[in-house]
Amino acid sequence: MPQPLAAGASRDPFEAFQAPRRFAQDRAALQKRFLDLSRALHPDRFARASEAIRQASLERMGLVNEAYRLLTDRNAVREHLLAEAGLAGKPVRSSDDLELAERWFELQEQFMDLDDPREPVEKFASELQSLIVRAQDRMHELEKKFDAGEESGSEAAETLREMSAAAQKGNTLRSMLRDVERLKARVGLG
Amino acid sequence: MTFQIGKFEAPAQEPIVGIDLGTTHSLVAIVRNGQPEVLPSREGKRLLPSVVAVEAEGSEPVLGYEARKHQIRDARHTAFSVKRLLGRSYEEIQAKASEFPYELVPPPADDPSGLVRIRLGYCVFTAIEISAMILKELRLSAEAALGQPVRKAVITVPAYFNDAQRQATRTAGRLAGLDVLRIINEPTAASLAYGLDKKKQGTIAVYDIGGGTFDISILRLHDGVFEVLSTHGNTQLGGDDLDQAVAQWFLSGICAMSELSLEERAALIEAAERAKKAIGSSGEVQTIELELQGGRHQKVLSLETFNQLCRPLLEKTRVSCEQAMKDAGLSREELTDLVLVGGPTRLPIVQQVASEIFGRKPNTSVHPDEVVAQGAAIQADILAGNTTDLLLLDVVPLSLGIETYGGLMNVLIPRNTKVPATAREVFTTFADKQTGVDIHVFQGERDQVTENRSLARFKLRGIRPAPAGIPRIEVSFLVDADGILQVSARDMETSQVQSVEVRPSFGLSDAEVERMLAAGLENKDGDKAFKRLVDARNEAEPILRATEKNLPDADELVGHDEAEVVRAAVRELQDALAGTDPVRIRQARDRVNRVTIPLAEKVLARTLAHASSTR
Repeated sequence: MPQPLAAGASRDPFEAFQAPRRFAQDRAALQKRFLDLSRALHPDRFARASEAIRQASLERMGLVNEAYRLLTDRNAVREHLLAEAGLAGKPVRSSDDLELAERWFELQEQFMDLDDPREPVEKFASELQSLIVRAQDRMHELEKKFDAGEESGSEAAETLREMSAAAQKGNTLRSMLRDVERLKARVGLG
Repeated sequence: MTFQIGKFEAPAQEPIVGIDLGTTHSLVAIVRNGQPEVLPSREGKRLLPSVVAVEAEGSEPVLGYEARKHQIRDARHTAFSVKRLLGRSYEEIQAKASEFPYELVPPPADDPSGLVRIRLGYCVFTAIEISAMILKELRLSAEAALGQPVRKAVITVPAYFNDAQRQATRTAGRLAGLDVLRIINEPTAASLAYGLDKKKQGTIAVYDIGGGTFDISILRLHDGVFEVLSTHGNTQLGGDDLDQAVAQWFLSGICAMSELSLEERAALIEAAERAKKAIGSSGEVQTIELELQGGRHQKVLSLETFNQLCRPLLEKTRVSCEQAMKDAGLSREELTDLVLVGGPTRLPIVQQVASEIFGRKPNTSVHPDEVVAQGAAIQADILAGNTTDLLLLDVVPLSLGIETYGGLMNVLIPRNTKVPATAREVFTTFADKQTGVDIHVFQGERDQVTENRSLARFKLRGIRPAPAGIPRIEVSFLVDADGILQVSARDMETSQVQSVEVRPSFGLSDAEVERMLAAGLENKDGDKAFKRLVDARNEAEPILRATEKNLPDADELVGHDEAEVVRAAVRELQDALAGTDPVRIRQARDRVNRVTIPLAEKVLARTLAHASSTR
């Protein structure tokens, strides 16, 4: 069936997929829309068309793939919404992050002198794990709050800002936990 | 803008064939009456062994089964398994050189492509040229079978082939007189042939082990759309390695492989392959008897020994399979089918290892040698516009990124992103009135670019002269449906399209391909020396000048020791530029680029500080 190349032409991923501007997405609906767009736009459908049309199909399909990838990844959705709201860029570290980092440095310094390093390291790792879980819970809360959509523009922006900080915190915690695991492996604790 | 696909029906139907360009054998197929059909070779066989013998300079190459006879009689003039060399540099392949019963030689010093060469008697070829001979033979076979000219083809490659290997395959097609409409991945092609009649929904794993490569692809089938979820593999693992293992086992206690003459090596590998096939089909002990180093040697290969030799090699596929399942976000239980593809999957030990990895019985209903070519033919029929109810959605096998400060990989397109895949990145200048920016693109999964594979250097040229950091050039990266990278750039302020010069790290530039086409398939690369030298100098001189400009402040900016390192690199580049060795110039230039990173950062910081204080 001939299909116009204009389908899904929007550069905006939400518009291209006719999806609500929110975090929670209907996966089945996204997939259906993705398959429909692919059937209509994929370069294989235009192999015998002119060079210009083949290139247009290639670029259009590239954007559809990019949008699909974004919409099925909450982190990518958050970054997209942040950029859209002009809030891209890294938030400052909070003081409790700095405090955590200091304790980690101290632990590394003392590590070799301790008779039994297992206990403090394990304790620190499990503390990090519970903080990560808490950061994830917080993120889900914020996503729900944003999706509820009952806020004014400035409140929505505030929610996004909090998300950005929470994401940063999660990244810091995860990379610290990776370092701890690496240390454990190095000295044969893992 | 709205385009209607219906307006582009071509008046006459030109045949488009599907080609499986394999390590050990190749096939050509076409869809007739809705069914894929393998077309016979000019020897009247279904398979064309991927073997080429060139007896003397200028003589017609001998191919297929006929060339196989040469393999033992005349090893020096016979090339096989060249797919393992496609798009590869001499350095990459050097360690394995003794496994090849023909001579591998480095590229001429003036050839920056770095591609390994194959010496057959007095003639030296690239793997691209040998592959082109095979493709040409397939084209002629198809023309003989169809009774009309064949100019268009879909060619399959291992899913895990990188950009250079894909480019090399496409170039071989062009040299063979084919318009390569699409490069598709072998396991994906196989799934197309497998799922054709079934029209089923489901999630399948295609375990594809050929003569020289291994791929695993995980696909989801929905109403005729074949969506690849993930792929992984190993482009240096296949049936050939099983032959090698048997050959090495036979040689143990006799001598090393490297001590054998090329003829003895060829005879040994052929005997090992024969024993492998016989033991695979009968399960019975095989006696290998050979004359080597002036003595007669005989060994008995039991099924148990054979399986022990194969298992460690086959176990290497496990990590690829697990990674592919993880990337697809699936557990083994969620798979509906495990499909085995490729000649070696006839071996019970291969079937056993595959079923252990996936915890299920494999489906062996497809023809392991023919299914890939059949799938390529179906894809050709899709591109011809005849088949409209099927569609393949494939992915990039390897992450693609650019080099950033500190030699780190900045991933722009992660592996398993659907193709066509796009990414954009904004670049700027770091010196006043700088008009060019170098972008170095890599492919691979490691953090350090040096551990990944250099794909190409892109040069942005003709940037408006402006203070450092002011021009904003948006570069768009697009991996097309062939899995090959295209790059375009535009000035964000003026929207002017910016010119991008591409220098593939391994492979031939378009101009070189044109020249080879013009010269037939002859290997003429002696005349390019001068151009290479000029190119190398043109690239290096601006970098030298820019560095020299900042040298007086170097001690102050980065400290004496660091400044000494920079000065030494600058002297080396000056010396290299006085000479005529383009390789040395490039190396010296790369070194200057590397050691000036801290200096460049400091200069940049100073420029920024200066700019903000005067504003």
